Amino acid sequence: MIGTAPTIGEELPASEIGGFTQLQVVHYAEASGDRNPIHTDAVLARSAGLAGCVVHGMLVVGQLEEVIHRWRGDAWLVASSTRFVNPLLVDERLTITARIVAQRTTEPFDFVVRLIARGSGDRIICLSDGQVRIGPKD
Amino acid sequence: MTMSGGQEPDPPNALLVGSCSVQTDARSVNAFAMALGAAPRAGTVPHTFPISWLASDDVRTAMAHLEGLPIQTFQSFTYYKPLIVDTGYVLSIRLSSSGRVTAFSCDAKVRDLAGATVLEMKSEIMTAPNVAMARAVR
Repeated sequence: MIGTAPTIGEELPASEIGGFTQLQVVHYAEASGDRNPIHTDAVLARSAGLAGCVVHGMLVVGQLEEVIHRWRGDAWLVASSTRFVNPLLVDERLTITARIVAQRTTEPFDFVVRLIARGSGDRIICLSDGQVRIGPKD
Repeated sequence: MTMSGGQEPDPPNALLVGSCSVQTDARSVNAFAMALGAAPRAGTVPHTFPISWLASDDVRTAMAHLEGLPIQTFQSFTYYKPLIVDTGYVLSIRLSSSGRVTAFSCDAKVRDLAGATVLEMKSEIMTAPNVAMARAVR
């Protein structure tokens, strides 16, 4: 959607991800350089008290930008601030919801979008505030 | 990527202060975007791509001082202008502990080659007290 101005309270389309597979997590580990074995070694992850391999938190955060882009092609995520609350397990369902909660009162009048990523049973994985600018990315 | 010493004074409890050259080479950017499962957008760099610059040997070595398994609790990105594909930048990092060996923060700044700040990012990490796991991570 391009053209109409966002409104405070507007909900962005939710994003449903069936789960990140172990192969996707391995690919992300290679691409990001984060090779912490809790992401790829189930035995080691369990020895650390986890239920299994966990998805990189930054792989989840990377989805937030996708939520913004699917909402509007002319929206640019200028800033984000994310607090990680719970680990997301490999193959665990992920749902991301987002809502516009504020607009800056000074130029360039960016919007603040609050994003919540939830896993199975509505368990909160992370909370993020994104600062979104509408218009060309320059 | 090898860090050189920073010009600014070391903060208290600094584990690493330095800067290095980094690149948004198209191959790495594309691999990162694919690993996110992101829809391809020619010429753009994913919001979270700079996290891959923090996976340097120097940062890993500095983190080896910590006791336990590193678990990320917070991450922020603030862009002042977009990163451009196939462009060189200078990354400055301050990795410091909060006085405890179980928590530390990483403040990073990315400048273009003219010295203008392009991006600031902050990571907060805590460690889980699992000695066996920590040895494996390192």
